[in-house]
Amino acid sequence: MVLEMQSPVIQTELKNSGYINKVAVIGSGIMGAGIAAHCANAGCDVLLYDIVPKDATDRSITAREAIARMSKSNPEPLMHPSNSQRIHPVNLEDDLHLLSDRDWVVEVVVERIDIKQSIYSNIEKHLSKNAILSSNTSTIPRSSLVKGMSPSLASRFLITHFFNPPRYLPLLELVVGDEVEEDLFHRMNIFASERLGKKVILCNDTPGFIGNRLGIYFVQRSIAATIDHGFTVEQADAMLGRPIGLPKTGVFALMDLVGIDIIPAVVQSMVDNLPPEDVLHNIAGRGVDIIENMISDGYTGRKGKGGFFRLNTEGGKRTKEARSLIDGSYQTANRKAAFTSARVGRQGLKRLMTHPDKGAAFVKEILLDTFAYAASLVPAVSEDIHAIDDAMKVGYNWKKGPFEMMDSVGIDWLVTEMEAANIAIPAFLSLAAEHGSFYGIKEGEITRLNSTGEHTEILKGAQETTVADIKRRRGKAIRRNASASIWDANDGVLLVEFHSKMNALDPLIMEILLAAVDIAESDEWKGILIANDSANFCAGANLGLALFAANLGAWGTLEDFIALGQDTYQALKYAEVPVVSAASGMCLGGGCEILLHSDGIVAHSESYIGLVETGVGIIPAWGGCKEMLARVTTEKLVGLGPMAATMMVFENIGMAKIAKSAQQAKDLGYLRASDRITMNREHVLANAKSYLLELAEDYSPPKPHTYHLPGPSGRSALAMALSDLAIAGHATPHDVTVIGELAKVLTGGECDHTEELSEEDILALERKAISTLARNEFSLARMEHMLSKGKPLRN
Amino acid sequence: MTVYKAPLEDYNFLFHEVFDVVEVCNRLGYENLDREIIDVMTEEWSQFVIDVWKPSNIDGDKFGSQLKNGEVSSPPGFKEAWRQTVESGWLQAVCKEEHGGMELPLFFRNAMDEPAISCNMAISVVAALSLGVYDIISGHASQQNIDRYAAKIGSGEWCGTMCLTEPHCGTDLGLIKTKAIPQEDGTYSITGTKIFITAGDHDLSENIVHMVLAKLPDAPEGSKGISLFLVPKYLSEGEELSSEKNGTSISGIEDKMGLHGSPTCVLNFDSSKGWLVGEKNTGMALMFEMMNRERLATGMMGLGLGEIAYQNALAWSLERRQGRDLRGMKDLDSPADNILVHPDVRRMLLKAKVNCEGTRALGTWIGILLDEMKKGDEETKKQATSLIALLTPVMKAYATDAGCQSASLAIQVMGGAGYCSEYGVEQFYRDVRIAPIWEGTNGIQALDLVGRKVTQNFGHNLRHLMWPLLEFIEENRAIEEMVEFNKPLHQSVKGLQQLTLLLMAEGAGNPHFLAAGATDYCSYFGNTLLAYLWAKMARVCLDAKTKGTATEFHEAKLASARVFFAEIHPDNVGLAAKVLGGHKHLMLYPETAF
Repeated sequence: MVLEMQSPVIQTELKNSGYINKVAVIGSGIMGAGIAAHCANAGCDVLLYDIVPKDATDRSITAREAIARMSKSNPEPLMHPSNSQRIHPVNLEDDLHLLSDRDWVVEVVVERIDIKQSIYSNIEKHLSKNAILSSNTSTIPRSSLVKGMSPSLASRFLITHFFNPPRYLPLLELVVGDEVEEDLFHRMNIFASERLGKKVILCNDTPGFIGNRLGIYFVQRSIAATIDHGFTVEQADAMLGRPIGLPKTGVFALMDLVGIDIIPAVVQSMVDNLPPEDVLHNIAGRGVDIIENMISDGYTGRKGKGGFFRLNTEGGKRTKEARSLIDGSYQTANRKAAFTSARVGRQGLKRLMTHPDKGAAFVKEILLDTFAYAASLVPAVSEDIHAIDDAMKVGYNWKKGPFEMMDSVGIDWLVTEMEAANIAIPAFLSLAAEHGSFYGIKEGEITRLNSTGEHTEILKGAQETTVADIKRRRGKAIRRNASASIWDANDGVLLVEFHSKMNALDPLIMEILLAAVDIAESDEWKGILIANDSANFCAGANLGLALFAANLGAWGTLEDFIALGQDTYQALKYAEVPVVSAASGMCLGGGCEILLHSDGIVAHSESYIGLVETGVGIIPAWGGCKEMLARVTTEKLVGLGPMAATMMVFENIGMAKIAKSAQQAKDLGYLRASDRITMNREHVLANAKSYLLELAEDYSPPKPHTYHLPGPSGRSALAMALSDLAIAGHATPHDVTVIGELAKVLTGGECDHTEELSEEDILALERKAISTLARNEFSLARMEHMLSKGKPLRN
Repeated sequence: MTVYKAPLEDYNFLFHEVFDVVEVCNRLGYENLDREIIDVMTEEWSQFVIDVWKPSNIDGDKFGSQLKNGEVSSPPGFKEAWRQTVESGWLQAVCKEEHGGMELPLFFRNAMDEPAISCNMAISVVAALSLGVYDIISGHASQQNIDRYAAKIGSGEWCGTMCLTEPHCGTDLGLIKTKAIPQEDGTYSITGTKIFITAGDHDLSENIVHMVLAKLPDAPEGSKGISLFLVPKYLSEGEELSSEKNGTSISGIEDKMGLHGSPTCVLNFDSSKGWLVGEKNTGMALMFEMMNRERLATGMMGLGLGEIAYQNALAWSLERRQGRDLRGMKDLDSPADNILVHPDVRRMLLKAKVNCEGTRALGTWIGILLDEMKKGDEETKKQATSLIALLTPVMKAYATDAGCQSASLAIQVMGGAGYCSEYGVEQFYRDVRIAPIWEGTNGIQALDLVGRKVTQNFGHNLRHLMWPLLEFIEENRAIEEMVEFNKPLHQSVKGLQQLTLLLMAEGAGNPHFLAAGATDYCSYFGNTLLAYLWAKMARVCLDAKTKGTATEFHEAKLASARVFFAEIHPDNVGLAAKVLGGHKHLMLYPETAF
């Protein structure tokens, strides 16, 4: 079952009794280091253990080097470089006594029972009575690991299975034995979900748990089908990625990513531990020869010299090449390998599976078997289909889990097709056929079919409420247009959700935001919450529309749009009620400016915030310059004097700096010190709402900021700095133009530093700069390039 | 017998006062072309088609082309007209020097389509096709085939065709079935059936060179797998033509509404020997290169036939006396006044006249842009390419719609006489009716405009049109005499901006919205372009008045501009409303109720 979130009272009690704060990670390989880094991200004190290399003078060098590597790894395991200071390198020979104050010790060593067990027995005497010990094994059952363990240690022993990379993949599979006390399990659960931000899924003690059990079956089944159908790896991946709602890496590029060399070991471990009737045995040997040849040739994937795909950089060109499954040769990868049916995937999985082409037949064969396999895992692997779906969605980035996919194509149709393909119908699927579907809705709540054939409500704590939950329960929005909606989020809170394509800001969103302020003020709401469930809060304005308007010479439309944004954001800032934004993912450009005009922010730790307008040839003109000039002063990020604030903001915006985590956003001033960071994406909305209600007690709108800016003399100082950059080749000619316009705004135009400027003065300067730049063909070229190629043009 | 006088004065005005083609020629390196030479050539070519082509036009309609024993014979007079054309060297004059030509600029070639079409559209399409094939061969064929065919096709000694359509596919060419099998000698064996092949066979020339779209055995699916082949009717060895046909045969010619002089053939290829033109699987791109010019030429058909229809309706009206001026009798010596006293007759005649004058200006502009695209510097080329991308579908659709309207109005002015063959005007109406259909129907042009030319690169093409246009409006804002033209132009430009943004915003999520509004949007676009050109022409006339060089012609042109802004341009109000109306009334209409 998915663990139900406890009431706040219990949480508080647990925090007092057994809060996890001191952690030890044993093993400093990729996973161990990643887990250590992530615990440090969560504010924990971490001991990172590894062996002492032969004849080493620095006896903790292995762990020390692992820590040093963290700042160079990509993607970065640390949310802030300073977090590494919380990780201490130690070794397994001299430092075991340091374990005595650890709340949690996690073993992350090689997947060998003997080695793991010897570590457990070596450390047991050093552990405190309250300490939790866990293993990060991905395939070895807990029952095997606890063999020979003292009952006292076994009662504190869990499996905590992280997915790589631990900072970025939110799935944590938790396996608990009968002998483990409930309190201990809750301590771990709350720590993992709140502090580490993980989606914790409780698994039965079966091989591969949920994610790898199904994931490995799917990969292995796909390899078999690729060989049987005589497909190329490009053809297979083109069909098994986006068209069926999986990441675009499909199957073969996914193996390249995780490492070809680990595949045989993982599959073997599954084969060793699975019961003989499991159908993975039938296909486990398929493609082994191909993979072993690749490993012996050094083609271990992206970490090696390539895998099923490789990048040929001969002659300075970067050519993606694909490996032939038949003779192992590499040819330029076919970018158009997808069959026609791949395109109908957008109209639903069933449309794809019933398409007459070869690609569809391939997909259908794999999915029918995978679905049957998933259904056969209930209840042995998990009784909870929602947990299985979540594991695949969170751990493997599938858009829908297998049971959601089965519902989407229709159970009756599925059963008919499986029968036609001579696939044995699992009992649980027959049960679903009787009920019509795996999921249902009862009184506004989602239900799931359990193994006894009843639909039970999926329990979810208030903490994990999503915008989708609010919408489903309400049914009808207070106001809605094509790009955004206003919802009643209970307790006097108005919620504004963006749902334009990519949440791009357009006039319709502005209209809804203004309406929200109006409704909140006139109908006595407590405050406005700006939030959405998307991966990215908002990556900025609808640039395509703006570029179109510019190409059309519709300057009035464009200027109205800029003014509308400014007015809207000022209305948010000076509303009679507080406004809190729930940030996550990309918060760029106009999205960042919404944050800057909010009274408070609850940001997911994985928020990437920045004012990146110069990259597309413009400057922030929805109050971004205005707010940042004030912000760096009020947050005391710079000293006094008219030039200090200008300089810092000039660097941030001029270089389009993006904070790579919420923690880093505080350094840059995009978040205030008082803004809150939440590690768990699912908790962001609830936390933002609580924060809003706190602010609503005794709220009064902020006082407008007044500015003293350096004027033309400051501008010439910036111009000199800029021309140095240009001479050194760090700024292109058009950078000089764009950043020059930015300098005009940030220095206050023609003012002199004794003059007091108002917010409206800065806004007027922003508008003027954007009007100039929108008429510049080099700026428009930057926009066009970004929109069509997805990366900035350096002209 | 029909009357016709080439619109020389109008071309004079467009060439030298509105666009300054001499400056264009100098800038682009067309040497030795001064104003005098251009004017003389314009006049002489017009006189040539009046003298040589026009006399057989009515017979062309009456007798048509005939298929007998697998051979197509031309109507009386055509062969002789064509012989004189080849001899005159007029066609060859547009070819490159190495093929015996003078490489006349494209604007000239394009403009000269007009009198040719007015005089004999059936012959004019043979010339247009042949020159189109000349362009492709001289630009993309192997040297051997250039040597063998270019000069002969350029001169008109041999003729050319475009073979695209097949019985089961026209608009969607990705589906073609004609096969090209590679042969050991590097040639290809072509087999398949093409339909609707204009001038697919005839006896004007001893040989015909077909440009055929076909698929290679290993070609990719759809339109990416189409190649272009050169397939002659008769193979030639040195100077000698083979007496055996190259596997081509005609199995039928269509009975049509009009354009009877031009045979529309069903053309079969049976293991015909062909040569690849350009690279493999690039046939669509090559065909579009030719097609873009043919689309402009088709627009000129609307103009040419609209013009001659107008001239004949006018000639008739000047004689015709019916009723009295509503404000009192005009001609007391006659039992009735000339029908020009009636506002509605004037409305019809002037609408036709102004349609022609406006599209003539548009055609001339695009012709100059073609030259700029071909020979301009990098920046000029870029701008011209963008503008041609936008203006070609608009010209094709707008000018052919206007041509049909003008010819229809001409008939209407004449009443029953217009409907009778005796006066010749009904033939123009039947002949022009093909123009909105072929070379991509006007519906397809509208979709090309809205779904591709406007949309691509987030409206990048529009920048090269709209920015200068807005600048023009700004320049003329302060000139009082320009207000009557500049103000409605500004209204339409603002409307076009808003409609475009709406179509892009709505259409992004709903292609039906985009497609339902496409035709009306295309008309709006065309009307707005013409508003610009009329304002520009009005400005030229006003400047002439200021300078004291204005003539009656300039006064008439100002009067025409006023007719445009009062009679034609206001259609934009309704067109905009229709675009805004979206698609639901169409798509939600119950299927069973059709």
